[in-house]
Order: sequence, then C-alpha cells, then structure tokens
Amino acid sequence: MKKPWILILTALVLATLIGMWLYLFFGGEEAREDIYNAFGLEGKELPFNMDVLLGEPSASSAPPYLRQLSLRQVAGYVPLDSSSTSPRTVRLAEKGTGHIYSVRVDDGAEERLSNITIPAARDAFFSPDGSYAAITTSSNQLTLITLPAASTTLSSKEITASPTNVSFSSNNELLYSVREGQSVVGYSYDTTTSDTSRLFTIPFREAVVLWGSDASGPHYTYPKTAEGLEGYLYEIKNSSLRRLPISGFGLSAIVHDDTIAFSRTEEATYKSYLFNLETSTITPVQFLFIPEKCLIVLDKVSCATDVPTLKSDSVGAWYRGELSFNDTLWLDPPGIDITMEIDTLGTKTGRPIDATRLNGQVYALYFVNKIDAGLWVYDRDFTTGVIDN
Amino acid sequence: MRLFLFGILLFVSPFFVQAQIQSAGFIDMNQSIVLSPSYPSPQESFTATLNDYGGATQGATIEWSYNDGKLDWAFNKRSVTLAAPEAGNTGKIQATLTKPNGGIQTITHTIVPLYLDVIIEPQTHVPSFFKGRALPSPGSTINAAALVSADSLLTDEYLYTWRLNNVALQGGPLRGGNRISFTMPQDTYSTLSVTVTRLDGSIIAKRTISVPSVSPSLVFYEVNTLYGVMERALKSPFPLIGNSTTLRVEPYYLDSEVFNNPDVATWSVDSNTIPTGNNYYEITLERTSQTGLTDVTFRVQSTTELLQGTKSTLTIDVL
Repeated sequence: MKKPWILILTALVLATLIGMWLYLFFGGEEAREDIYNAFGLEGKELPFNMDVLLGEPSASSAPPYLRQLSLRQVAGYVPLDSSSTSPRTVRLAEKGTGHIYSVRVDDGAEERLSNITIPAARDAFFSPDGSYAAITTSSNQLTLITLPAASTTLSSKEITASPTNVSFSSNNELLYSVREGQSVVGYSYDTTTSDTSRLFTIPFREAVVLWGSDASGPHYTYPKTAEGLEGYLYEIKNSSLRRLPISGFGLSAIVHDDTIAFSRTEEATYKSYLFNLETSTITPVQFLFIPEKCLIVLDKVSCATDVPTLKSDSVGAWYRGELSFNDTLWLDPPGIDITMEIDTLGTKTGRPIDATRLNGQVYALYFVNKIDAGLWVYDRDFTTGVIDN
Repeated sequence: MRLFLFGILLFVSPFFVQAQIQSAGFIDMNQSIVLSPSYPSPQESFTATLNDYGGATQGATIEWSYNDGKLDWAFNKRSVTLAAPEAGNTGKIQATLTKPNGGIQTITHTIVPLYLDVIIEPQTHVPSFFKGRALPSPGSTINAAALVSADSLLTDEYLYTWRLNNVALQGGPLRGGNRISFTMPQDTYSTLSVTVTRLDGSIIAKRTISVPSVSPSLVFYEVNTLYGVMERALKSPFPLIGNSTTLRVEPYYLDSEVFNNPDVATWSVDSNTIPTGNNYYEITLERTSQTGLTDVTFRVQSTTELLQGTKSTLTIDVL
C-alpha cells in the first residue's frame, strides 16, 4: 500500500476516535435519552413510573402512597392495624405453597410465619385478628392453619372438601358452605373447640354466600352471576331465607352491615346501585362497578373500576380470564360528602392493575392485582383535606 | 235399564256444561277488573283495566280507589297503573261506577303479590375457578327451581305446572314439584313458565321467563406446576419461552355428561393428531429444534347431540 493511502486511513481513524470522545463528553444527555427510548416505546412514557416504584427522590423519605407490598403471588391476606407494640402489618398466604408471611406495611420487611406447604393453594381467608387462615386448593380442599401465638402452636387441619364460600366471623369461627344434593348448606367451625354446627340450607346449588360477621347471621345469598339469567338476593336469618327487593339479570352484590352494593343489567346496560337495608331504598351510584372489586366502609362504597370498559357482558369475560381491566380508584370516603375519581392505577405504576379483594379503610386501601396476584396498598389519608393528584 | 239411564245422562249432560259456560261468561264478559301482568310481583308496576264488553256501564262515571284511598287523578279513566304492595300484603283495587240513572255499582279486585323466583341451574361445564354460573347450551340438561316467598320462603305444598315453549313438562301439574329438569331446545331463547296453585286449584303466582342458550366455547389456559391452572386466558400467538408448557382447555357450557365422557376429544399440532393421556383436556408440549408459529387445535364433540361440540385453535410462537 502506498504511503499517502496509509496516512489518509490513519487520519480518518483518528478523526472518528476524536469524534466519539467529543460525543461522549459533550453529547451525553441526549445519548442517555436515546438509550431509554430504545425500549421500543417510540417516544412514549417509560414502561415504569420510577417515582412510584422507587419512591419520590425529593426531600421526603416516606414510601410512595401506591406501592406493591409483596412480589409473591397472593392467595389472600388480612391487614392488621398498628398497636403500641407492633407496626402496621399484612398477613398473606402465598398461592401454590400456602406459606404464610407477615409484611410490614411501611417498609415491606417480610417474615415467614408458616412453612406448612399446601400444594396448589388457590385462595386464602384470614380471621380478623390474623391468627387463623383457611386455605382452599385447586383440588377443592379446605385446610385451616392455626398460626403460632402465646397459647397455640403452628398447626393445620383439613376441614372439608369442595367448599363454595369461606369466611371468618368476628370471633374467629370458620364459616363455610358446601353443596349437598340440590342445596348449599352453611356451617360454622369453632376454632377453639373444633365443633361444627349446621347453620342454614339454601334450596339451590349455584349459590354465592355473602357471610356476615357473626355465625348467627344475618348472611346473604344469591344465585351466581350469569349474563342473561336472573338473580335474586335473599337474607338468611335464623336459618330461614327472606327475599329482598333486589333482583335482575347478571346480579352480583356485596354486603356490609346495612348497605348492599349491587350491579345488574337493565335493557343491555350495566348499572350499579346501593341498597339500604334499614330504609329499603335503592340509590344509583355515580360510577359503574363490579361488586367484587369494591369495599363498603360504613355506608359508602369505594371501588376499583374501569368504567369505559365495563359492559353487560364484561363480567363473564372477566371471570373467564379473557378480559382484564385497567382500573381507576373511585372513592367515597365516610365523612366527606363527595365521590372522587382518584387515580388510574395503571398510569401511576406503568402497568395495568385489575384490582380485586379490596380490604382495609378508604385511606389505607389494600388490593390484589388479578393480573399477577401481587398485593398492593393505596396508602393515603383523604380525610384531612383536598386530594392532589 | 242401564242403557236407558246412560241415554238420559248423554242427553242431559250438555245442558250442565252449557250452564257453566254461561255462568263464567256472565262474570267475565260484563264488568270486571283485569290486571296486566295478571299476577304482579311485589312492588311491581301493573295496569288495572275496567272491562265492560256488555256496555252496561255506558255513560257512567268511574271512580278508582286503591287500598281504600281515592285516586282522584284516575277519575273516569278506563285503566290505571299502580304499584303492587309488598310481598304478602293485600292490595284492593276498586272501581265505583255511577250510572246516569243514579245506580251505583262497585267492582273489586284483590291481589296478594308473592315473589316467584325461577332459578336456572344449567348442568354445563365451567371450571372450578370460574365464579359465575354456567349457561345453557342446545341439548344440555337444565335444572330449574321455583321459590315462592312472602316474608320468608313458603314451604307449603303447592301444585307446580311447568311449561317449556308452551308445552307442559312431565304431563301437567306436579304436587310439591318446585324443581324440574328438561333438555334445552335448539332455539336461541326458550320460554319457561311456571304456575303455582294451592291444592284447591286457586292460582297464587305465575311467572314466565326467557332462557337464553349459547354455543359451547373453548378457552385455553397455561398450567403451572406450582400454582395450578393460571386463570388468565391465553391469546394467540402465545409465546413459548421455556422448554415445555402444559396447556389446559376448558369447554365452557358443554353439557356436563359430554364433558365427562366425550365421544370425540382430540388434540392436534399443525394438523397432526396426537394421543392424549388420562386427562382429555390437558396436553404438555415440548420444544423441538424448530422455531416459529405452531397451531395447536382441540376438538370435543358428542356424536349423538351435534350441537354439543366445539373446536378451537391456539397459535404458539416458539421463540
């Protein structure tokens, strides 16, 4: 190769290297943005809202108000309030294993409370004080876990096969229903004496039982939701059924004290209402909801709901797992005479949230994301003033 | 002698029948209050209409009252729309006719509305994690239960007459027969009605409902060894990232008997039928050296009830 060519090539290589160094030193900001944008979103927002996931980087060290409490797939949980000796915690059972953990709400620190493995654990229900957990499996077994406390040790006991609806009373009695023949029968199981009592019989098989806080009732029942089939709501008191003036196609409901939140289809339109048991009055609600995605605090309902997506045929598709929602929180806090559309959870977190199994209070609202079974908390006190989004 | 008596009876009996018809005609065809619906549910809106086909009340004024409360707004109207009382309570509808000659006639109709709930329980398949109720499909078995209640469920023994598309089921009234089973017709909608009567034949409630029918459909799910069936439906193309995956297909609304003992239940991968194990509805797929799209098809079919069957394909993207 001739000398001039060698000189030209050397000069070109040197110029390229100098150019790269200059670009890295003086064009760094643009280069970083290009790297983020290379996620394939073509100039859209980042896939995660880093403020929410990592906390506000500014002065406050408080955790973000909307945060995931556990990365485990959660079968069920119960929030426990703080006391003078213990901080706010959540007890949760893990799907698949049935292992039980305690998670501190403020910092997410986790401790395992039960290593009893329940294969294919699907749903878990805790007593209000968190000392018992009832776990159902994919093979429809119901197992009671007694968590260690001062007077008890960790233990487990199989209660029944094929339970339909499970809950605990306020004094730790296990309440469950079982299909028997053409009926559904409600039972209570005393966790201290191991005695089982038959509570009531519902004269149809496809029943949803909404358990009250006391084994003696009242409880509520309705035929499972089905688009195009009518449902009717009944109160169960003293072992007998009383028909309430609530019925409709695709009926589903939740009850707390004197308040029933229900939805139904009217002339192909999905509608949501509140019913006051004391006054027997029905009131339309400002937003549409699936009752399973709601929480009643005192006589007001707060929900995670995706109003634009919610149609009369949505509920069946949601049950089948063919449809998931991108929820917004609609809150109706007691003490404030206003219904608030607060946050689109997916916008805050950068990923869709289809909230279910709501629990807690309006200003510390816990829920499970149906999409990945993760446990979240929306930890914000609205009762003192105006909300800023 | 017996022949003589038989002849007399044959001659006389039509007169008795005729007399009954005339008697009924006298009551129904002159003045009466007719309700629509004829047996309103508690608190349901209903219309009461004054029927006077004979024209005997021509020129008369009409005053309506409901539970002894005068309805001024309904003066001289032929029909009024009212709300039925609560379950088990009595509603007394009264029309007072004052004829031009001063004669007064009062017509009364009393209702005691009861809830008559018809609960449809299709015997079709839905998976255990599905929280809703199964739907009827053509040719599937349907159970229906009728619950009559006022303040509480009425447990007296009544006669239940069930009709499907206006054909009586099980031959007619059934004493204590508040449950019935029938095979779903092939129509998109069928009409099911039930009439509840006391043992003396008086009707206490009547209800007609429309029962929809849907075709069975397949939904694919992934089975995780730890968590069991993942409750999110798979959509095509489903990416296969690991070395293998187990799929479960759920034939929603397939008759339970067909689900338990299907005449045909086949899986095929790219049109090649593959054998299934003990569980018709699950298949484990293992990655081969090839990448790209693969069609996995499942078909379930009854050979005796042709509408009890369905087929669906999931495309798998082998990455």
